Amino acid sequence: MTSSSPLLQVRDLEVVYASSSGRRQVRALAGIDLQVQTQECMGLVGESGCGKSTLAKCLLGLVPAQQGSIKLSLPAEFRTRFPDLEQLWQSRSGSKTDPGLELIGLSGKAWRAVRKAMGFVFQDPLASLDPRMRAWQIVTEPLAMHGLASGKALRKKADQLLDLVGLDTQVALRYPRQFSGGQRQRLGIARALALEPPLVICDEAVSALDVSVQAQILTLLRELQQSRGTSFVFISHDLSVVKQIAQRTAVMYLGRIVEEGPSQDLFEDPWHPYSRALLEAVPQPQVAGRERQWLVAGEAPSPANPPSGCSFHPRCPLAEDQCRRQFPPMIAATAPSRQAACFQLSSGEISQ
Amino acid sequence: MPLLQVRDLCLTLPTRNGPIAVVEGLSFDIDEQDSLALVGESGCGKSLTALAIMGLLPPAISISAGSIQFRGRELVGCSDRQWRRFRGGAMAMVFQEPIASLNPVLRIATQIEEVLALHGDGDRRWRKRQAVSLLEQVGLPDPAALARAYPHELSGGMCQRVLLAMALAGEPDLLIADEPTTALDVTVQAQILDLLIEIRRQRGLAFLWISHDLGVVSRLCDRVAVMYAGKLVEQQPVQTLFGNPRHPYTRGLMAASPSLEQQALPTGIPGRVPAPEDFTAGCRFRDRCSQAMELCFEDPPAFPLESEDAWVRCFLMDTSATSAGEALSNGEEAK
Repeated sequence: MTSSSPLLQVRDLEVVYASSSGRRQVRALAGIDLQVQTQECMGLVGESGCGKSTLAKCLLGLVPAQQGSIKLSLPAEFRTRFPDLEQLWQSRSGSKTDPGLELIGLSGKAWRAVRKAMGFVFQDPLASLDPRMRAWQIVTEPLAMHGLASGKALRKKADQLLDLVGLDTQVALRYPRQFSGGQRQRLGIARALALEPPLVICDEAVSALDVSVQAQILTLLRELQQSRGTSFVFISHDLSVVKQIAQRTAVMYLGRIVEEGPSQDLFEDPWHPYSRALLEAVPQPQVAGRERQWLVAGEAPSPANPPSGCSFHPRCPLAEDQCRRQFPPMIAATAPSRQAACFQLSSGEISQ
Repeated sequence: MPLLQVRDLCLTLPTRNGPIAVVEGLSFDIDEQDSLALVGESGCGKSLTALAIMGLLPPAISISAGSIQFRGRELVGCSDRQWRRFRGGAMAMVFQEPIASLNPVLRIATQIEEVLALHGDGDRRWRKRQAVSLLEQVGLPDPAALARAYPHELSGGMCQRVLLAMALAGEPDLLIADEPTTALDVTVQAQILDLLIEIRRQRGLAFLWISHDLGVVSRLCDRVAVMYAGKLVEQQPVQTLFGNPRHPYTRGLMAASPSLEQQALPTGIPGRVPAPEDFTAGCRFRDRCSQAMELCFEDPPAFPLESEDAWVRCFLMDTSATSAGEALSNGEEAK
């Protein structure tokens, strides 16, 4: 695969939730553009309600998109392992120059085939594991469900998976309640990796864990990324975690990506006022007397009733008339490749 | 006389195999206007300690030894009725889940007025006015309208402000907070922390702050006590603790905490906190400690540190044992 076709390419994605009568509509996601390269970890940060989880669900086909495109470019080695996926690929994927498979508009059956390529790790490890299944059954469920292994082969695969995530194979017969929080999260990760997917989506995967265990899980994810070339979409409200695990980070506010760039640059010198405010709000040891000039007042507005223009303007210290009237375009830079949507960037208010 | 004095506190849970001590030999003082943070991983007994001080322990767990004195008055052995005179009055508590801590079917004002009826001495009109004024003091917009709202109409951050207003209603001298900002977004958390710092400055409140977030602790507290598996292992002023953590567990916690300052991935502590039924004599951290030695099967005493009221319970601090000193410096290099 060439570097020109990213593993995942999202273009102008829009998701609208409607009330049952259809009269009230909430635009949960608007104009989302995102790329995830092979072996890259893309971090998604933002306050609750900004659409992080909706985006994850949309990528997995669990929430329908109203507009836009999600293209997945699977390596041949992966898709040829699954006949249904390969068949879908041959019939639906694009031209040679743009080989991605368009996911928007796929049927339920086609989605089932595509989801083999995407692992998912949930926030609450206990709630996402079936309490009546044993550890080995949990981690091999995707294999069993897609009819890829059975009997002795399945048990052997279970041992490999448990070993991969650093669990003793002795625990294969235990039930979820017999594990600690960190071990349960390892089970969740093992399950997500069962089919060796090229992409794993983690929605607040370490948020419920103690720091000492959280660090163990992050190390595990990094190892998998390096040894298997797995790509991650890593959703978290914890900016420090994202800074350390993700190579690139996208900052979301009220259903839109307002800034995106290499984590290193974005965290050191954020462009968007919202990114600055988020970073300053993180309490840190040893930085007691730090000056805080970007701290935002109030809370994020409801996506059901978004402000006009730039949705951040009511909380932004730099807001001007223009910001109240129209949504700012993305201003992009190359080397390093990063972008932010803010009028003040072009007017030089914020140093580039 | 300290405002709150806890001495050799033991909390036990009876089981079929005999009683288990979930918290053991806990001692600390909090002076007037002082602030102490209790940090550690989940399962260390931090929350139980707070509940014991408030007289709110679950029925299964009892105080088996030790004393809790508030303004010189012994609270251990108090009847529930006697405890009620302090709880919500001179000692108030704010919990982790703001929305779950409010009664969903009562208006905000009613819930604050309840506290005022118990601990204030004004009439109904006064209580109504006071409730609105408290909501204003915690920085809520349009307090008069908010007083008539129900909890579900408020966001998590607003509910936490309401709970803070309720805690302040009894004019407390000591505020106990159990992870009050953990469930909130960072931006809202920063606002609540600013508010707490301001309120503490205005009212001269003392804090007992329970948290796993070292960043939050450094903003709010003067002193930190580190708890592990039911016991305190280290206590230091906040500045020296972050500059020079001594106990291997404290060092591990800091290395594991993700930070914006840091480039590399944080390093975890291998293993996990033992369950209370597996608590043993000796240092309970020894199974996870890279510097554990023979000696660690005995209970380490509290070795005093340079600054006042600072100590650490680890044999590595025993300056008389030179080999231990070497082990410590090696550990530093390894980091």
